[in-house]
Amino acid sequence: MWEQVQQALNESTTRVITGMADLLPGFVALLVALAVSSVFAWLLASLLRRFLRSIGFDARLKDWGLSGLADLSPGRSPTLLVARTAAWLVILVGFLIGVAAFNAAFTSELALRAFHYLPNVIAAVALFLVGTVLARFVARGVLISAVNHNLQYARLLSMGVRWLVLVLAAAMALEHLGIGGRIVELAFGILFGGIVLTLALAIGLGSKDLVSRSLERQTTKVAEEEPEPFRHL
Amino acid sequence: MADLEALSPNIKERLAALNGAELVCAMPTVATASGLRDAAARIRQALDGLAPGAKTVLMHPDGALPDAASAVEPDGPALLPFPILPVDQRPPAGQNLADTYRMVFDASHRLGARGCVVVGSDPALLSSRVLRWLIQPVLEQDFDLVTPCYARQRFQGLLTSAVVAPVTRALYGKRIRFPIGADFAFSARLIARELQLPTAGREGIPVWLASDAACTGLKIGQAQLGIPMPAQKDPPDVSAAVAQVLGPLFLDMERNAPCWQKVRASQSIPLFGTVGTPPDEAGAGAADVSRMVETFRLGYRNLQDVWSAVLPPATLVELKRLTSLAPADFRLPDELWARTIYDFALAHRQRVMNRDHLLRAMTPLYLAWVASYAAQVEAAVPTAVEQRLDRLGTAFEAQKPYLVSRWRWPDRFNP
Repeated sequence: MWEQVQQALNESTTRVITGMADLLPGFVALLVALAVSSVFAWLLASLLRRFLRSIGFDARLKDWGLSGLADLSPGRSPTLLVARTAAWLVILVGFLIGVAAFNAAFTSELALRAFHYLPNVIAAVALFLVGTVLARFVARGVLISAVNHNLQYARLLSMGVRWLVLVLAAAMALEHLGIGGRIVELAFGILFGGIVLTLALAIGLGSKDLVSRSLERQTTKVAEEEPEPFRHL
Repeated sequence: MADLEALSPNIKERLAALNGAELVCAMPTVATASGLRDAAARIRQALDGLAPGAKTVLMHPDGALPDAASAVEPDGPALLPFPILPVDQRPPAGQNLADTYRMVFDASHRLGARGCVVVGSDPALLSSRVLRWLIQPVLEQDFDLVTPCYARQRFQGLLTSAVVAPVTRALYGKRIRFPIGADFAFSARLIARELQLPTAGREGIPVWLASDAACTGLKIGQAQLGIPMPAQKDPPDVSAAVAQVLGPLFLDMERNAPCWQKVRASQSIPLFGTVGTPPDEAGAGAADVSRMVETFRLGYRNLQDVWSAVLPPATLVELKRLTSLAPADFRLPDELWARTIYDFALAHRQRVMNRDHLLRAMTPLYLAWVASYAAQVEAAVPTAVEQRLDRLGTAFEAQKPYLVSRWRWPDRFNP
């Protein structure tokens, strides 16, 4: 009996060690793939950085009116953003190649699914990026306009508008990724409605005097109001 | 851009039938037959003794005067109905004042006129004597551009006083009191030059008329008109007025950078005509500036992100100090105001952010200047107002090296 136990243990140990020995080349291949892709990514990023700097990419983006992209970039440089994104993509491809060394069938399936999913990811990232830039743009416009109209709650209004656009962009991005389904829609509806209600209450309560004065003017048609002495044009 | 080729065949035929002219006078505000008759008579009187018998063409808005031909005496100016916009008002959406100027210049050039006068003010307010002061320097004294010199009302045309006139003085070295207005006279030389220049960027309020003449080295004069600036209705939002004026001005600065960087100091501009009685502003009283100061404070609290992308830290520190002043003691130093304008011009050139946002973000700072200026001149006599604005122009000149340094080395130079 003891011999049978010993034999079973030996067999299982052999199986585990054999299995590990089978995996070892895969691990080494993964490490090598990661190392090579890292070197290649570094080279590519370096070349891209040099090239984009030589053509004045950051300045060109400014000229095209895409200065908002600088705010999202590391060191406020879109050149760095492009170079780093390219580098991480290369490392990701290296990782997929490394993973493929473990089990061809499994990784083929994985790669196929990843590639099918990729357009959704790209669309979602693009949507979110556009949403972020748009949110900043709209929020700044609202802030400047509210300040020029002497509204004390200018910042609150601007923040509210910014979050509205961001939440909308995030919900659209998540829908593209197929994450959350109905929950995202529901959460978005609640959050969006909440922000709108908050803003409406804030503005309504903050400017009730303004509104009442305006209504009073409308109803009584005060024509003899003091003319503004300043003419700017 | 408007082009004479795009005009109706009737206008082109009329232009050809006129067979040349000595002087072209464009009056876009004439709206009635009696107004046209009156304007024609004034032009004839203005030219008596100046260029007697000189063939004159009077351009007036087309469509409005079906009986125009019968309104003018046979020996009066020839009429040329044209689709021209009133140059004393903001044009309707989609239309451009530059098109009107371009059209008038083109017609004048085709007619081979020696000079051209654009009268955007109500012609009924301009006597023939005043018209003569506008025309004479061009026809007799070889001047190329005559700008209007209106009777200054202290709180009118504030953007011209605060920014356009001092910037024109500092950049181009010409002390023109009203670089933008509605009444100008042009020589054939300047018109030919204007027609050669690219039209891109020359849009909106025509700030480029004076700068083009100055950069080309043409002779500039001023005519004392004795009337207030044509009453323009401000847009409901001050920031829209700021953007309307400063946008074209900053574009013009960018276009003429090689020219103004070489200019040193400034010179006074010959003034034709006699100074009339200044407008009575005795009843104007004290202006309430507390709301403007409040907008400035609100701007300082909320627009830090925008302003810090445009203004250097030293300027922000000075602005912070101003936020603690009471409206009665509120004073914005001229040097600080000049540097602020220059910093915004540079940010506009570098496209630090959306240009419309940038220009509108300047509104609280502009209102701070208006509040400071109003507190200083509310009880001042007209000569004191002129002296105050002269000091402002001097400050803009003194700060010009700062602009030149930042313009040439925007990344290196950050005091």
